Formats: sequence, structure tokens, C-alpha cells
Amino acid sequence: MNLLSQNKIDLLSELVKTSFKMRYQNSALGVLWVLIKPYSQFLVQYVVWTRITNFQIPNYQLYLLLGIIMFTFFNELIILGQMSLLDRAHIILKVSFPRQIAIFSALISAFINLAINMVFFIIIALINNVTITPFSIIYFIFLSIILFIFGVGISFFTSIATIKLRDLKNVFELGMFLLQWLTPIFYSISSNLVEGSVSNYIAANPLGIIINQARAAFGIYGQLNIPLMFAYLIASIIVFVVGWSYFTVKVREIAEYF
Amino acid sequence: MNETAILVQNLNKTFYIHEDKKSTLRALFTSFFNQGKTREFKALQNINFEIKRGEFVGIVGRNGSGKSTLLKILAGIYNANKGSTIKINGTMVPFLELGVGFNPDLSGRENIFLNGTILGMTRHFLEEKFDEIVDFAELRNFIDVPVKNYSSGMMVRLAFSIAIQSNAEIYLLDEILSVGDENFQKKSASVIRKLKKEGKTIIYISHNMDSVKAYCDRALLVDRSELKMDGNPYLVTEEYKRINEVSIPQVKEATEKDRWGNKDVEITNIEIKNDKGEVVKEFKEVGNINIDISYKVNKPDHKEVMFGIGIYRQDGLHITGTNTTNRNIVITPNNSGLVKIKISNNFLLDNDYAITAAIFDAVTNETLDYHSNRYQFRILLKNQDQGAVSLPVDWEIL
Repeated sequence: MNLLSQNKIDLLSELVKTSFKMRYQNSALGVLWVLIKPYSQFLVQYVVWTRITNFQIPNYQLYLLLGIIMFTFFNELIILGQMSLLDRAHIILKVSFPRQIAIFSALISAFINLAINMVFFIIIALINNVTITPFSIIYFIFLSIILFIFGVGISFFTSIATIKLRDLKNVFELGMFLLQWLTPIFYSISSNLVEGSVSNYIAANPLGIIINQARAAFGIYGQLNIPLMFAYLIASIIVFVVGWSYFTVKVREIAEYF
Repeated sequence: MNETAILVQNLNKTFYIHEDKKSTLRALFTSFFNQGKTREFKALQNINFEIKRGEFVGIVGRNGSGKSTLLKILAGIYNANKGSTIKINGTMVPFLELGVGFNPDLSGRENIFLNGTILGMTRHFLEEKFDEIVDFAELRNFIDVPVKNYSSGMMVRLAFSIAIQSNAEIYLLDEILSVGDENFQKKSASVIRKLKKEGKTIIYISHNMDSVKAYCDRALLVDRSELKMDGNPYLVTEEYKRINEVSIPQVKEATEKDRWGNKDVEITNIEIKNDKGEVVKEFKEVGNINIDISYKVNKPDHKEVMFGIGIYRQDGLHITGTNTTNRNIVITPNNSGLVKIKISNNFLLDNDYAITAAIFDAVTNETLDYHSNRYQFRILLKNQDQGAVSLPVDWEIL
């Protein structure tokens, strides 16, 4: 199976294009919806949190916005990846092609959405006098790639499991909802709201650590920790490789369960 | 020309059907306490054939005979059972359906690239062939219109025109030569003949016996999960017609409507086994039909119960029926138990049958649990006797 043949690359790009077109077909605002979701969430949270509490986080608007964008990205990786096989059942049951393409095409959509959001984030950051260096961009891309590799690796398992047990869709949506509150998106670990042993658990949340690294990349909050991110990269690659081998074995058995 | 394109040896495919499919958590939990049964369904049994390069082979068979499963296994969508050998020698395009992945909201143009790449072509190749595809489909004026606005004829014309561009050595065609109007059918027929001239290997599944006779060098007949015939298309299509005339309609699937009673004593499971103790759905050898009825007592109000059993033919004819009271057997139910029944199968003629089983209170005749025709089996003993049953007959020739 040659995943890098020209046809496979073209197939991947056609599937990505189609799912992108489909999401915004017949909608008046079209691709703007990619922005509207995280940015409206940002506006509401910003107004609420700055009125009712004082986190004493410098650059709070950028802190919050980047947190929401990163979490939205991770959420899409998990949810789109999980549904990637089921959503493409009509093709999978008729044509034999490397099924990994279904997963990649779903998650690349999430990546594109992240890119669109980041363009606007950078514009807002520049307006707020944040200096953005080439390093900021490269480090941010590096962090998103870690999440992407992890997302694909996890989706190798979840996409198969969801075919056998449809409830997992709800389980994961609930899980992501809970994770959102356990990740420092609108608060920070050091802020006075989070105290005691709870803060230790939240501080250990790898997603929160990556989001804080993204903030550090733009000099908004916290310190860079590049060696730790390389460790995360290796961990993600391990998840990816194990997931890949699980997936290649299981995916052909799964066809009759759709 | 004598190279093998497809080799299939000892191909078996079994589906495991969960009686209540556990695809939700709730079902998983409830069936944890109330173990759902897994039924085996042998979709293909011991299929062997070889197709040489350049052959045009038709596959015929009734709906549900297993031919689609066979095609999906050849196409690499389903795995066959362990021990099956399937060798495909050459690149293959499966057209299990025309227009796979067609998106109704996209234009004809966009769908050419989407469907074409799904079928294994590259974007560059499709750009080169674009005009040819559009002209063949006769859709020049509609190519930028969303395909949801196409007529069904336009849709299949476009799909066919894309599909035939794929350049493979082996083609799996599922009933695609009878699309479009007469004019388009002529065009598509000439394309298929051209493929044949070029020495492509073609496997063609169809219900249209005329087209099988017209195109194929050879035909395979799949019936009841088995390869019944392999050879000359004229003979095979004749046999197919013959089978269709004597075909046995399947017994309908059991539903909850086929069960009633207050379940004070409940039939928890019924298994039909052969003499080796294997759970079976078919009897091909003379022997016993062994029926194991498991029961449990939910309310200990019934001192004596009666078990009844009946065999019905698929058309509803009541072949036989008996119960424990008739045979002077008294059953005092324990908490749970097993009742084994052994019936010789050699009085049954080849057909599909269903078993009815029931528990009654032996004193009041109250129905405790009645399972009407819920358990099906098939007899294939090749007994040529006539009538409803075959009785043991001794002939004495003096």
C-alpha cells in the first residue's frame, strides 16, 4: 500500500476540499463561520470573566483568545477524527483505498480551521503591540503538529471503536466538555481562583501545558519549555505508530459492522 | 493469455450476527445480564475458481445468494475467513456502484475529480481526460450545475463516463451495463467490448441474463452461499432460470410478535444442533435434528408443565407437532433446566422449516411462553420424494 502515490495525495485533497465546501455550502456567511464560533465564544467569555472576577493575567484578551482557538483545534481533532470512518461509510463500503486517508482528510480540515483562526489572531496580536518573530510562528506550528500527530494517533483507535459502539460519540463530546473546564483556557494555574491540590492536577494537564507553550511562543504568558515539547512530540509519535498498526489490522474487520 | 488474474481457493465467509446489536452502551449493559445470542451466517462456503487474464466472466445468482459478498471480498472491502486464499494478479478497479462518493451539492465538474480520485485516478490524469468524460456523458451544458439537479439518467451517464476512464487490468462491474437510455447503452457496450479487446479481465455481476450471454465467455452461478456452476454462459443462465422457478422463499425473520405468554416459565434459548453437537441452520446429511430448549422459572406457581414442539414448512404447512403430555411425560420444573428433543430429519423434504416451541401449565393449559416459528432451519438431503413428508417405505419386489 503506497500512501504517498499521486492518486492517494489527490484523493486526500479532494476529500478535504469536499468536506470544507460541504460545511459552508449554502450558508450566507460561508467560511466566516470558522471564525465566528471561537471569536464569539471569546467575546462572551471576555465580557463575563473581566466583569465578575479579576484573574490578574496580563494580556488577558490574547491569553483567552489563544486558549479558545487551541482548544477548538484540539476538540475538532478528537471529534472529527472519531467520526471520520462513520462519516465516510458510503465510500468505505464501496471502494478499497487506504482508510488512513479518511482520518487524515478529517483532521486536515481541523488544521485548516486553525490556520484561518490564527491569521486573525496574529492581526489582533499585532494591533495589541505584541512582537511576533519567525520563531513564534515556527514554534506555534511545531506545537500544532504535536497535537495533530497525537490527534491522528488517537483517531486510529477511536474511529474504529465508535463504529462498534455508537455511544462513544456522546461519551467523547461529554469528555471534551469536561476537559474544557479542566484546562486553563480562561483562567491560569497561578490565578487565585484555582487553589490547593486541584491546581496540581490541572497544572499536569498536557493539553493545558501545550496551550501555555503556545502563549509563551507569542510572549503572552509563561516560559518556553522546548525540551518538554520534544518529549511530547515523541510521545505523540508513539501513539501514532501504535495506533497505525492497530488500525491497519482492525480496519478491514470493521467493514461489516458499519 | 494463460496467466491467472484471480485465484480463489477454499473461500469461506461467515458473518456473526448479534441478535440484538450492541452498538449502544445501554444495549451493552442490558445484554450483559441477558446474554444476546450470536448467530452465524455462512455467506460463502468453500468457493473455488480461477480466472485467466483476458477472460470476461459473469457472476449470476439470486438476491442474497452471496454474490455481492463475493464481490466485496474480491474488492478488498471485506476480509474472508482465515484459511481462504484470494490472489489478485494485477491492478483492479471495483465498480460496486456507479458514482461512489458523488456529492449532490457539488457540480458535475467537481464530482468528476472527487469520484475519479476515489476510483484511483490522479487529478492530472482527470484534467487530461476531462473533455472526453464530459463529451461521453453528453453533459457539456450541465457540467457546472450541482448534480442534485441532474436527472437519474444524467447522473449515471456521468458516473459511467468517469468509471471507464480508470485504467486497470481487472474490472469488477456490478450491473453497470444497463444504465442510461438505449443510445447510451450502445455507447457503453462498445466501450466494454473495447476493454475486452485490449485484453482486460472483467468480472460482471448481473441479473440480466441476456447481457451475460452477450458479453461473457464464462459464467459462475452462486446459490445459497455456494458456487453451484462454472462454465458456459448459456448453460449457466439456463440453470439460473431453473433455480429461480423452484426457488424457496425464505422464512421471514422472527419478531417479538411471534412470541406470547406470561413467561412464568420462560424459554431462554433454543438451539438446533446436528448429531455432532454443532449449532446448525442446515442439514445436509441424514441424522437427527437435536433441539435443546433451555428454560427458567420466573414464578414457581406451576407444579407441572408441558413442553410442546411443532415443525412448520416455510409456506405455513404444519408438518408435525407433539408435546410432553401426549407422550406421557411429566415435568416438574426446577429453577432452570434443559429439555432435549431428538427428531430424525429423514422424513423432511428439501425446504426451509421453522420450529415452534412452547411451555404450558400441564393442569390449566395456560400458555406460559409460546415461540411461534422463531427457529429456522433448512433441509438439503436431496431426497426426491414427492408430497409434504417422506415416510419410511419398504418395497418388496416379488
